[in-house]
Amino acid sequence: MSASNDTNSGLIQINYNDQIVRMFTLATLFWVTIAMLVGIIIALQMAVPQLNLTEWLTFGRIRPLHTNAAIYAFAGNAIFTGIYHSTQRLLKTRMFSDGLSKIHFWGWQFIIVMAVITLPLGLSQGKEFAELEWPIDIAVVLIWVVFAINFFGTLLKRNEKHLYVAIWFYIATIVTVALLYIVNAISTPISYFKSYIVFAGIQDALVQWWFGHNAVAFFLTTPFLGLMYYYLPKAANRPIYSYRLSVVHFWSLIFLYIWAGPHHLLNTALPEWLQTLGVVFSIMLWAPSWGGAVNGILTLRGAWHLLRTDPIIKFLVAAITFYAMATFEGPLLSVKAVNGLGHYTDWIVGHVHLGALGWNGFLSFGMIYFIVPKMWKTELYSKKLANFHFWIGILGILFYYVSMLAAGLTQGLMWRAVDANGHLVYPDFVETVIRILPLFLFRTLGGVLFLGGFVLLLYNVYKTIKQAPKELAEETVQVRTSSSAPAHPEQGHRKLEGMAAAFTILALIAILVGSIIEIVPTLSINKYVKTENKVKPFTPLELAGRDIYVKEGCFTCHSQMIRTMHSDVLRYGAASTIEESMYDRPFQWGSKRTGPDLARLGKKYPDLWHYMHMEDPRAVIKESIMPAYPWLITSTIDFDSLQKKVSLFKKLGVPHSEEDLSDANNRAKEQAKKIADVLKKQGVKEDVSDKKITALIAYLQALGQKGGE
Amino acid sequence: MSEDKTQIYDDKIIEGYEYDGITEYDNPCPVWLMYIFYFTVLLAVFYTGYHFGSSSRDGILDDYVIKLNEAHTPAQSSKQKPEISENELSALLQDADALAEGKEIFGDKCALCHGNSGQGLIGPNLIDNCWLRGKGKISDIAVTIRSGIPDKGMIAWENRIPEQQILHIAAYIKSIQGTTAENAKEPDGELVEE
Repeated sequence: MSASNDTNSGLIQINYNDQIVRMFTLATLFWVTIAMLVGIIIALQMAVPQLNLTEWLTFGRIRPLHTNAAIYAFAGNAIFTGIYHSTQRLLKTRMFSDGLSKIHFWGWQFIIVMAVITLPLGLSQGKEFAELEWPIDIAVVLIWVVFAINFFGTLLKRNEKHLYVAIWFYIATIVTVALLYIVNAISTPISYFKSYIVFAGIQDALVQWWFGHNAVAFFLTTPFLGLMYYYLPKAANRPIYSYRLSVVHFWSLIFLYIWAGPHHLLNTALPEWLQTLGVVFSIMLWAPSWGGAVNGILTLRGAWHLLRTDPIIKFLVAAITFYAMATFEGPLLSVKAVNGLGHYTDWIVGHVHLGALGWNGFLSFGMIYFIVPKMWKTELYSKKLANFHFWIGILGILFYYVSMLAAGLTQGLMWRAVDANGHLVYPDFVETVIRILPLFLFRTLGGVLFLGGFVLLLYNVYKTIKQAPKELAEETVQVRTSSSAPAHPEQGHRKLEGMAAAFTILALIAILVGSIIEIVPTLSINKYVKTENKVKPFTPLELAGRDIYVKEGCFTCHSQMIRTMHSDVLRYGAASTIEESMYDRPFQWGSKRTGPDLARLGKKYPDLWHYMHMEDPRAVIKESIMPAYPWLITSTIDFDSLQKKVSLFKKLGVPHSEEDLSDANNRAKEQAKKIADVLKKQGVKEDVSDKKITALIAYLQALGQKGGE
Repeated sequence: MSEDKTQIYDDKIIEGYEYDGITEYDNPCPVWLMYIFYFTVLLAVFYTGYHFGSSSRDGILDDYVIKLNEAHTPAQSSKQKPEISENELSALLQDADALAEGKEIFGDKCALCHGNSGQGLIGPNLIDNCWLRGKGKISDIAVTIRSGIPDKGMIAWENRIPEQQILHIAAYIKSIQGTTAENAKEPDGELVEE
């Protein structure tokens, strides 16, 4: 419209690939349903432990399924939908390759199906949001590369010289996610479905949360900001409020975000300088995050009346509002004092869902209501239903968030309550759990409402597609090839927007700075390990028990990190040190205390206590909400793989003794026999010397007993 | 919700740039947002200086250590309370309310390991005449409850149960001595004849 120069040549006809957009749309809808259903199941399991039915559907195994489905299946498919739809239109060209688009689509769905199968089987690397085992990791990377080639190929053949701000965010997403995922998955396989991460202890903790935090940043934030920059002005038919703001907040956001990972490890054994970086960069993220929200909201000036009539605008505006709330709460929670209260509690869970349901969920729903009628060449079946969806969705989010905030604050305050004599007011952990149980039910109600609203969307989309014409012709547009576009004398950022490769490299540099400065120093872990704090490695049997701990997802509810906080030390013993977890692959510091910390659990209870507790937690702690693990008593320990494991760890630098190295199998059997004999004397009828429970007990009894305090 | 009356920007569309129908205004960044940014940067610089600055470098950790020391000072050891003689404690055996309270807490906290009737389960039998610790006097039992047997898995209850209630539990345990229960655990420890 603005190109007033006369151009008489270079007009070409472009067909957009809309089929791939339709496919990703339907995949999104399918996986949202699964992710939310699993979410509701695990929410109920927390209130009613008897709902942990069978080994494969226990909380510890399907909680990772919920998070992976929400991130990779739901958010993943949603951003692919939006990127494939908007990129073609913003660059005025068809996607680079129809073949690659198809491979991307089916490859990604295959990966998710593999996740749905392997996670309930307990095949897990034991790192949050990175549980998938190594063969699936490789598939993820390959498919991501396919996506990247397809996307950057499209950039190269674009007919629009300048890259619009949405494209900037897509570029940052693709580059950074590749880097994060690959680095955090570097592991050594010992079998087809078991591998150990190469990083240990604080290295692993730091890499994991550099990954985990930036998965939120570059998988759940930047791509969705890109989508917002396309769908909001399209739906409202208004110009973007400020081009300058998009430049400033884009670069500041991606540069600052990458540093903030250590805020997941505040008050832990992580070196102080890293914690400090985590705090200050999180605080500085406040304004750049709001930059996106402000630019979105102000774009609507003059179009506010649409908020009354158009459900799409409603969803988008609410999404941006939730984004603004979550990105204010984030820096707040990164202040050490606030974090001391909120960390390990349900407040964090509430915070995450404010983003996941409010921001990612609502933005995706707004986008889907926008895309579906366009892609199926018809009108939306019912605006009324969409409006109704909006209101129960909002109600669902509020129920969810408020109950989790209340639960988190209540429990956090109870954990730290100390009386005049310096004693804990609530020394029994379970007391603090009982108090928040009703809130777990309110949270579930919130989830059900949110899913209920989504079912309305499903019905609405189904009816819309049903009324679509049989033949869906691809959208065709006449575009000017960029070579014949008018030339402006350009400088600064405008010039950069015309240079895709340079732009990508600069974005890469922006995210590499923080990554390198934070991660490289910890790779030489020796600097942080005090040599006088000698730590003994786990025995082969304890290692077998540790694998069970990881497999059952114990880390989803138990931390192994006593923070340098008065109330933590009173409750659990001396603060954890770097040395104590220096051989742990993966580290199991955890991020949530649905149950108590286990860093110094060893020797606290007799073996029989653990035996009875694993068989039925409520036999020893009446009000416990922990699942029962009866299969550990009947299934056998995999002794044969121990040899391989011990020699792998030895190679990675763990000082296992020569005996453990040469005869791991028999050493483990001896130790198991001893434990089983003790259990027998205490009244256990079966011989459990080759059962998993014995290995797990050996591991639990070794926690905090290896020196290094 | 009406049109912004305090419009300070001119909302000039940037000519020559249009993406699939989307245009952009040439508005500056909102000033208040920039101030938030500068404020957080200042805060970051200050906090980093506070942390890395030579004199306050260990301030955060020091603070934690001080708090910890403070917390530990008032907790004097009170394992043995010699002021109360065994005779006085024996009076508790006649005090129905005290025994009832002792029984209730026993059921709540002790029964998981010692059995509902004190017959022993994870922990030892408490109804026989054999004692692993002390001579079976109420004051001996109270000592065990207070300090626990950490090596064997029994935690110290001193900080978790008020002193008066510990005495009531000890009296209750004394009172069930000599009773019988099904599945009682083997006697263990030193036989004490009374």
